[in-house]
Amino acid sequence: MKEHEFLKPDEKLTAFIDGELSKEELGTLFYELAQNPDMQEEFNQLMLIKNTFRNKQMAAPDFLKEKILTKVGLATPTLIERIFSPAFYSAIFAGSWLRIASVSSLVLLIGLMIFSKFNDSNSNSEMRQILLTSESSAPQYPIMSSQSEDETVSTNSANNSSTSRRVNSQSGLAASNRNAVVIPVQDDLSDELAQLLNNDNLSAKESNFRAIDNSHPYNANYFDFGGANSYGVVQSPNYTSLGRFLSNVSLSFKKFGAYSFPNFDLAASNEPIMNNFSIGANYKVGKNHSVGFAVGQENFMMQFDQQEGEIIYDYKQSYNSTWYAGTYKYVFAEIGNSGVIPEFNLLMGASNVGPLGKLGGGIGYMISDNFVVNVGLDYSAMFYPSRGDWKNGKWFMTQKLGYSIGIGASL
Amino acid sequence: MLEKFAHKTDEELFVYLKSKDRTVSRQAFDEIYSRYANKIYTYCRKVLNSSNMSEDIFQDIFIKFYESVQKIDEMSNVQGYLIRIARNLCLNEKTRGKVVKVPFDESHYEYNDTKIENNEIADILHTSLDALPEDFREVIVMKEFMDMSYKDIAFALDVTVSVVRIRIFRGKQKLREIMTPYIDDIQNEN
Repeated sequence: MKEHEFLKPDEKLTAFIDGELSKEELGTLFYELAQNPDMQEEFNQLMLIKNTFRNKQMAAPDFLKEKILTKVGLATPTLIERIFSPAFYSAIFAGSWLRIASVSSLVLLIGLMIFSKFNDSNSNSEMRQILLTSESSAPQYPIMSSQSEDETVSTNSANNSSTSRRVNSQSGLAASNRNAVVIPVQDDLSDELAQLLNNDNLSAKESNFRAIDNSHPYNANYFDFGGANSYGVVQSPNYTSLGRFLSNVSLSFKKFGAYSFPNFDLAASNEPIMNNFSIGANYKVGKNHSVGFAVGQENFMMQFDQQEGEIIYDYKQSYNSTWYAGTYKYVFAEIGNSGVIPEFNLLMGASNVGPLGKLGGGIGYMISDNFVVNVGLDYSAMFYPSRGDWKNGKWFMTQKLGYSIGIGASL
Repeated sequence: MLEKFAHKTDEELFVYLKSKDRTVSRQAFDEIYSRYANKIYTYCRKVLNSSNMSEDIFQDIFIKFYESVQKIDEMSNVQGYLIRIARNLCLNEKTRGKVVKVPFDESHYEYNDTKIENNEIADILHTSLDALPEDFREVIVMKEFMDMSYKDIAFALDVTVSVVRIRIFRGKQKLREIMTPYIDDIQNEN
């Protein structure tokens, strides 16, 4: 400390006792101290002061700390607060993809159990919608159910569904206006049809449509990815809590409305709680990128043909499927300071009928730092095999184009 | 991931203190509190000379410090920042005239020396310290009770190191002048 070079000897002495003197200055100080008895007396008194003050720091009362912590919001968290703290999740997920996969699988499994149970409770009503009727020009054929043997014949008049069955034949008795498959049949088809009418065993067993039969090994939710619709995820530009797991998690809730291809007037036989809704969770993996999963339920219009012997059946149904999917979302920059954020999302997953995908785009509007509302356009496509046979069945596709509205919340 | 904060620097703790994760923020706060609570409390007690008022101000200091941390991006001297807050709040209280002086309370001091002679000297010294002008008393409290360097004191008071050195020198000279007759008497009695 250069300025000490100009200190008077007693000033230098005080600085020395306070430990503020450099080694170079110590030499001259010691020389002066040895030569000057008054300085030695002063040194002794200053050391007495120093030693008396030493260790006289006062201890702050313990209760003050808790008071402060409470006032600044850092008081000891409750058990629930600990469980939901980001640090807890960080500790769980830190550096271990295996653990992430385990927890994700557990969540998925629980979701599957819930929705499987839910589907079971509605299976009867859904299956009754699979009907086989004659065309209006044809004789009134019995309505066949694919359900079970004891649930066989009803009449078209007894059922409001418009599902139809057409029969192609060379005689043109009931020509299908779609599907070019033409099967030769006997000339006297009337007799065959009469037999058909009287056949108690006609009720669809395996020969009837089973695409939505959950008991079929290829349909029994084997292809669940645990999917997601990512709509409505908050992507606040002010969100700064990077590196904390929960800070990057957001939840979304979305409502669908769409026009189907094919489309026909066929009411859904049941309206489950989550019909045309989805719930999803997303994790922000980058500035603009999020991945996640979602579970949803939607009605899909299905129309497909199936040959049974010499007859081609044309099936129509409005089927409510539960789907699970993985999602990806890209969020664009906020438009000015408007709070409006364009976004694009992709969903790939599967239902208990077949695989499906969704492509969507829209805008989100931030109503607060943690909530956003979304509107957008969605295109959906789902593939399904006839008879639920993924290996040998004929594949068909149903599509939907529509709107979606949603709300998202970040944690 | 839970962090060990004991070996973190003040600057690192400052960053953790701003964390949105309350657990991390709490741990950083605990560490800073453990480092400076006694110093700050001592400062309050010595400057205000009031136990109750010191406790209130002491709380306000750490609350204001925590709130300030959330608003600023960088803090190079946490201790100095705390002292500045403490000094402002204590001086405000003194200016308002709310401070009621109470007798010196020995129970708050950790006497390691059981000799009566030294305890008497300590009493005299603390009384003498209270009698010093504010400028001198403040720097001596910071140096002797809070173990701060001249540089840290200069930062806290927003003055130069030279000013600190001169104030400490003059303050201690004053203490010597006040104490010398008493010390001589005690030593002569023994």
